[in-house]
Amino acid sequence: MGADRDTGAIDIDQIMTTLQRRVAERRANGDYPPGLERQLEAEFEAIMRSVHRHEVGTEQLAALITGVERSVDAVDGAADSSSRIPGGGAVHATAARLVQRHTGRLADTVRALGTDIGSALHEIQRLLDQQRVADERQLRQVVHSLFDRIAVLDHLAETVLALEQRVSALEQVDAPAS
Amino acid sequence: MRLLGFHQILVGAAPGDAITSMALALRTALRALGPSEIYALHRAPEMLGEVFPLEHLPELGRDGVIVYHSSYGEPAMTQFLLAREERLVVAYHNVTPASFYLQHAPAFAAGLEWGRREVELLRSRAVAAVADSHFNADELAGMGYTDVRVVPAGLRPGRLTQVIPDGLLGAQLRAEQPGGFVLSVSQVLPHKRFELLIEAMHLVQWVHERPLGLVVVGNQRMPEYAEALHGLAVQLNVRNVRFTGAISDRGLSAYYRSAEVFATTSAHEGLAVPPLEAMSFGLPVVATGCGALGETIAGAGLVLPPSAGPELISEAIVAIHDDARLRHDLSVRGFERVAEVEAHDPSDAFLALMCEVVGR
Repeated sequence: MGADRDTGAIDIDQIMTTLQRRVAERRANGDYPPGLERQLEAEFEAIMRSVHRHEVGTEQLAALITGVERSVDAVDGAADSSSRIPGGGAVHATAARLVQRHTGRLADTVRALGTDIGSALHEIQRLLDQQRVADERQLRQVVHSLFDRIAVLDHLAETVLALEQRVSALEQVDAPAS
Repeated sequence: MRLLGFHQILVGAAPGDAITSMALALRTALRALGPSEIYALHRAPEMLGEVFPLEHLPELGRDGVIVYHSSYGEPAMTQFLLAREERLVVAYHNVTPASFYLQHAPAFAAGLEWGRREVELLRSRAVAAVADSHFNADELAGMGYTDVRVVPAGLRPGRLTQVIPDGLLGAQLRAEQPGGFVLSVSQVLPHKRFELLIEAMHLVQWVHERPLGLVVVGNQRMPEYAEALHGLAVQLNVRNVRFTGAISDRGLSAYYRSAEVFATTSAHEGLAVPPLEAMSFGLPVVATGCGALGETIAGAGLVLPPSAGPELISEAIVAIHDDARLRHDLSVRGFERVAEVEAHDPSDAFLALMCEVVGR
């Protein structure tokens, strides 16, 4: 397909022309009925509309959890020892050392609290996602069993039609010649 | 001159994400010039050891360089960047047009719209601009940037060939997909137009009557879209369809090694690494020629017109499936294309640009 006779290498442009010609032939033969692509597109749009439920996803929750974790990372118990007054820095540094015992412990507690909150939120997100996956799986099973039943009905209908044809053929054979 | 650092900034960092992977590769190169770390506004838990929170970025003043990888807009990030003193290098990876998301994900669409606005706002602050494809460079030029360099820094399409594939998965695939399968690798998002591929597979299976299945590898970031794709596959009775979600490099390597054809029907791509990765495994590639796809594939695959629908896409897939010679020829072209991309390490060009930026 599309090979150059002299070099043996494929000619991409020629292949594209062949592919487009094949599409045109299939359209002409009815393999691709008129408007097939539009029909397929409409099918997808209808499905997309039906799944659009405006529900709150866990993505938003995930972003909030990231925010909490960022805030935990930013907790800082160090006291600022800078000063604009000459020699004031030393005073501030001494004061900072004095309060550091308390602010440091406070920062540790806040960090631990933040970490616990983050873990709890992660657990909530996991449970929500797990529930959603389970619901989807269950729903898919129900849909599949419905399709199976419809397929059985289709098969039965075809069998009935075939039987009707056979009965009609038998009736024609048995009918007395007029 | 004493340089305090060449740090990179991302909006979000996640394992397997193309921009994050490029930033990690680039960090190794940048460390030859000075201290280099990656900082991000959002970090996936797996990245906590590699990528630091944005607020931990040290003040480097004018002696520092920050490379901002632009792909999505967050006002907090814009504000942060505009307030910094460091020399700013904008690395543009493209921002997807918001129109794909306006109807179903307006908040995400707003972020995309802001992404483009942000790139414009940063123009006056940027000392250099880099794009990873000519397509992206043209977009930057359209936003008023001058002297944009095309440097696909950190791009290593053959890296997965060095990864030992997941053997168990390979065996599973042979059992589940006895007729072979078409592979597509990308985040499952509306602008990737996976519905076109499912529709094409419907025609492959029911009009052409070929036994090929379909595997879509990629993070399902928008549950509604993923659900609609599942629904479409069921509705059109497309058999052997598998959506894997995000997977490991070992898993991805197994999929590339087991697939028969790689296909992408994306309507917008700024660079597109997966077709190159597929080529590195000798997989023939079919793609719609949107965005930078034509430029990336560069004659080594079947690039269909951007308007190609399921009919033409299915013809291309079937042509590759049926024609061993075509498969072989595309495979050889793919290997050559990857060799061409990897012949020059783009990181060298990026480092040269950094030296220009700091006047070394």
